[in-house]
Amino acid sequence: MLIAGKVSWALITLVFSLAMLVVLYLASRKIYVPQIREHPGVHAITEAVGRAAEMGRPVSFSPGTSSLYDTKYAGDTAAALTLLGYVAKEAVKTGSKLIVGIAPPTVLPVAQAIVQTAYSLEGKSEEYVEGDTVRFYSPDQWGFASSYIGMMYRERVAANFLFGGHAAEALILAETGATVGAMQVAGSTNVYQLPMYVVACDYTLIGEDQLAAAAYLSPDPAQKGVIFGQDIAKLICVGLIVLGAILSTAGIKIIYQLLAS
Amino acid sequence: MAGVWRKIASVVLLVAPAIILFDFALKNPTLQSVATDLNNWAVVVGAFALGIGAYSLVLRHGRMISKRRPEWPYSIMLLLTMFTFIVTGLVTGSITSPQYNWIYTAIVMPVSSTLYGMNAFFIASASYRAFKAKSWEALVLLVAAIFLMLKNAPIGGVISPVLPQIGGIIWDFAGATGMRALLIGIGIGTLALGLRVIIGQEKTPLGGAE
Repeated sequence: MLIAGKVSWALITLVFSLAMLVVLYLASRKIYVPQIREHPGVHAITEAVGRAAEMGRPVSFSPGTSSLYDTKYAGDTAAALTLLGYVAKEAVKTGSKLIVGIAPPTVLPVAQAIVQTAYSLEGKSEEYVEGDTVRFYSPDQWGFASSYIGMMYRERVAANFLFGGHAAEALILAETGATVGAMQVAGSTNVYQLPMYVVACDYTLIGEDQLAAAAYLSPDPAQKGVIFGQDIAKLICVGLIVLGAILSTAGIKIIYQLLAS
Repeated sequence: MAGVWRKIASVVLLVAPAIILFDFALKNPTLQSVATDLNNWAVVVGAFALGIGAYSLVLRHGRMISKRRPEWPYSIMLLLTMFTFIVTGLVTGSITSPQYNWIYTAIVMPVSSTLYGMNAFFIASASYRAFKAKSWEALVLLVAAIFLMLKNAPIGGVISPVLPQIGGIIWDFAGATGMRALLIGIGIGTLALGLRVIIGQEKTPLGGAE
């Protein structure tokens, strides 16, 4: 039995998921491979790691202060971890020292495994230092912030990546990165922290850009299919908004009642 | 062996979110009970992960002290503080004991508040950089920010009652609509990411690249 007030939620989730799965199937079978526009922020990730390698200075990465089972920002953390995989691979390839700062303990073993795998895949397992490449700072927001900015100053990082769920500490981290002269790429779905990143960082992945960044970077066409499916879902949303506004103006509340059901 | 674990993790990743999702929309006591158990397990796993975090800290700072790396005395301070907290909690048997509370309110809270307060200075320096009108976009940002500042600061209304109204229009229409559009995109993006993880398209959160 469906819970009252969540019928529309269930329907929308089902329709959107189906739309994405259809495009994913088409892309994986190469029946229709969508073309995705170039995203400067995503390409800047590779550029920033390359710059750090040229300067001979480290790359720092924060997957945020939210845990993997955070109600609101778990998606951000998952997206940050997928991006960590890419950054780690690039850092190992270019020979840059990577420092990953961790706040939530649940993220620590996952981040360690991701970075360790990246080092192993490039045949440089010996360069991965337990407890030093992936550093656990503090589960406390400000404890983490002070440790991370201290690390940025001491190590003089040349590239800094801030992804995942960051709250009030976002600006302090980003401003410190700007002060030490790091090229910074950040991403967030926290609409209150986005302006801070836009001001302090070189590139910002706004909202869903961060969530889709790993798919952008993937050479697998099926991954891009999901992004296209995402756009179809957004088009459905826009259609519902426009139709709902017109019908509500005409006194017909059908869309409103459907979404509130 | 790693492949087997990866497969088990993939199955867990497929089943667990599905249970939580269905529990959100369906009224079923069995489903609700399983979903509650899963959520409790997540908390237990989180508590174990804290132990891994503590081990990682001891490992790193122990190494810094033994090798006399730069700023090693700070590592001693960190480990001392950490173990003082642990011992106080264990001896008093509660994290709400007066002793434990005293350490928290006398040390942790003032330090955290100080860091939070520093945000004001960081906002000032960030604003200075943002408000240099080097491009048309920066100019729009600057003008909008001036109106919003005049809306919030009492001086805006003193200069002219129109100024706070303009700020209000920017906040209510441009700001709110932009934010809502972003939130719709974020919702769909989160759904897409969840779907990619559940169906095994995205393997990195399982702990490594494919």
